[in-house]
Amino acid sequence: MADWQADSRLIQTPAERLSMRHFAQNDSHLPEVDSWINPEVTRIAGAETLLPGVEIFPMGWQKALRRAPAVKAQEIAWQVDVPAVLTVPANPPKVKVLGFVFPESASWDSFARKTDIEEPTESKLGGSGKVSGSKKYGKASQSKGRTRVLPPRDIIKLEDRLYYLLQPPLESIAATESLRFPFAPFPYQFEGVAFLYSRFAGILADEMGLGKTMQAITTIRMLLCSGEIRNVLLVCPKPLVSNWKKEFELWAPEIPFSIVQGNSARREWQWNQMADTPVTIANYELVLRDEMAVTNENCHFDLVVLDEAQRIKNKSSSTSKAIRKIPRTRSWALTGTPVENSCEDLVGIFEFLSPGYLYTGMEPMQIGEMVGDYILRRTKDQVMTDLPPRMNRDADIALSPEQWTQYQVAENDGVIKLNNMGDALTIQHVFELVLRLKQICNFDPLTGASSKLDRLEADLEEVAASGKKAIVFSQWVKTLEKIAERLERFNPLQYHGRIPSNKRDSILDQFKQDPECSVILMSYGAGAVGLNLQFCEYVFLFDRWWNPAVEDQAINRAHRIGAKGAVTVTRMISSGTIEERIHQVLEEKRELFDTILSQAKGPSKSGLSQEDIFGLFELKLPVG
Amino acid sequence: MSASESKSQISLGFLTVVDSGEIGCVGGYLILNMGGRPLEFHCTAPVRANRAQQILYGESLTPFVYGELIARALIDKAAIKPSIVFADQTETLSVQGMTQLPVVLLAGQLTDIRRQPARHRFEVEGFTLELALQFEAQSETLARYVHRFVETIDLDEPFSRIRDAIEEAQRGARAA
Repeated sequence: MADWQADSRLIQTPAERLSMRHFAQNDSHLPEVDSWINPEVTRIAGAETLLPGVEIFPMGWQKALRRAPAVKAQEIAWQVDVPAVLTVPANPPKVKVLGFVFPESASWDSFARKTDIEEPTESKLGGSGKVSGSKKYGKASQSKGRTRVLPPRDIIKLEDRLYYLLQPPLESIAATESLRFPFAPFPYQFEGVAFLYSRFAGILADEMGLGKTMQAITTIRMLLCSGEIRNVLLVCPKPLVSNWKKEFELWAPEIPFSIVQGNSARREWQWNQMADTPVTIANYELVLRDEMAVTNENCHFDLVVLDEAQRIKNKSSSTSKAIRKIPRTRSWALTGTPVENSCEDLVGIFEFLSPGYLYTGMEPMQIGEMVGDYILRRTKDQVMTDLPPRMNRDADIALSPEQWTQYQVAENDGVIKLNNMGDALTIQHVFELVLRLKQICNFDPLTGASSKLDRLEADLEEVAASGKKAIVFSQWVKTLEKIAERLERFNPLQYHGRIPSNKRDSILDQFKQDPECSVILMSYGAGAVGLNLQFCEYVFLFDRWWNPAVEDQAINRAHRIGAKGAVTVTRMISSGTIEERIHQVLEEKRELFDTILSQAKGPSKSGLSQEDIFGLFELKLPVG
Repeated sequence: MSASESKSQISLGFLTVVDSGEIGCVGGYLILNMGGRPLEFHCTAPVRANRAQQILYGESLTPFVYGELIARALIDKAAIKPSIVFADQTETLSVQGMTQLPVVLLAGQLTDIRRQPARHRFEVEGFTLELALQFEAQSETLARYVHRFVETIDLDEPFSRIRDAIEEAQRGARAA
């Protein structure tokens, strides 16, 4: 039966199906049927298997049926193809791994002397920071800042870039036990540290008063503690050496430093020890004097930092040449005015940072684009939104009759003289006339009359009465001395080039502490940079400097971090005189450079050019 | 992980995978000392499942790629075996079956609807952590490490470093 069923698949037509049913329903007749059929025929035809396919027609039971039925055999191909198997690979993709192994930084305890740091007080505010009330920076969860060190563009190797990128946030490093701050740094100061940390060449060009000193010291401290550098040379103007000393003691008490000073034998010994001294502080003049010792091939610094780096803006100056020879790995420049007069100033500084990167004759916009990654510049307006305002007040003062007479005579005679000089006229001649006229604006040379001083005296009455303090700036020491005579009742102190260096710190301390001293008289040269006098709320510019950037530096002795109230700046300008003309030119230039600055992201405040100075008297610039 | 281990010997691993769309998935593994300083960093080349794998693996594809492929390759490659490996993606946890290191899920800031109940959940310094049950006995030690670590660095901070490093590496690869 099974065979039948199997073979039944071969039945094609309804008739065939019928015949199959016939046999299936009459199993008992099969032998009979068998007997009808010639066994040979069925054998031949293979009827056992083909029966369902045999066509038997029920034509009756005639004898003819005994004949072997006509069997038509058809061979049917019986072969089924093996189905194709498609194998889908599910093998996991191979994972390629790129690995970087970093050297574990040196122990941060290596410099720690576990110095007891005094609890900060307001009097120790110095140049930066608010009193935090805590020696430690606190838990990470409390310090929300995550200022990260970013690699500069000139670091190419991926491994080096990742090294910086994978460092912890600076706030976290500050939270470690071994790195304490007397005051909590501002977020922008951490950004400044992050900027310097990874740079082998860079300019920190923050506006005066934002704490460039603190940022540089903190970065130096972190690099020393992490073992990335071992010795640093810091070069600054001579009057600022003591300020750096104080700031190092405050911000990096565990870092040993030495100050290069004394006679030549002592200095030579000091220069020989510098490899073992983490920080060496020297002034520009000594570096120039000891050029042989400091540029010796055996002497190599991991980092050289220049404070007030505009000192090397003239690349042909001997100071610049000596500084550039110092063997070093990293070069940083600190300056609030990287461009004082022209883009060439920046070219000069870059000769120290990255020789040949900038060159004379480049367009300002091109320089701006190229130096973008090397300079970090922030202004108070950008970062110190809570800094008290600076109130500028231009005091237009009419000259006294005596002064005015003298002034007119001097100017008229002077201009005639200049015109008569013809081709022999030089900038120096014009410059001398300007100085002469400015001096008359300060004091009448014959009688000593001074409208400015009258005004200053009146203003200081109010300052002293309210218990405030004031700074008065002039470009001449002699002028300051005359002012001091008249203002004796205010117990004026003097701070200028004629005051010996060793007495200057005590003068500043006295001014700060003594409530009877209401005013300090400073020259632009000695007092414009590096000093922290934020307890003063009044600044008087008795006469104007040639360059507004220098004036800004002077003003920012008072208007800086820590200032408690608005700082009032009085610029004294004699009406109808050379001072008024200079003021107009400088204001126009300030506007022009502010425009350029906003495009090139570089700072610039220009002073008077030769053309400007000649133009003050409507003189033409001599050819050649 | 004895308590007597000095601070300098203890290290923590942080593991994350960045899905860069068509480029594929890139894994990053950062090993830090307790001061948060990097000791080792490993990242993978982009891993991209083909269409067939996407169909065949179905929903299990992401845990497979994140955990069994990427995380495993990264952990195997590192020379330093940290005390804990932190992950910030649930999908990465499938690597736990392939490593002896405890893999802890930083679950505090995740909407973790797929949290597996068979994991030990505990809180340290405001962070919710999940750990395979087999390591439950070590959770106290792990919590102590976490406590010390977060004195200086938030536990989720290293993941942002990894992502930045992966982006930097990809930028470098594109430039090359």
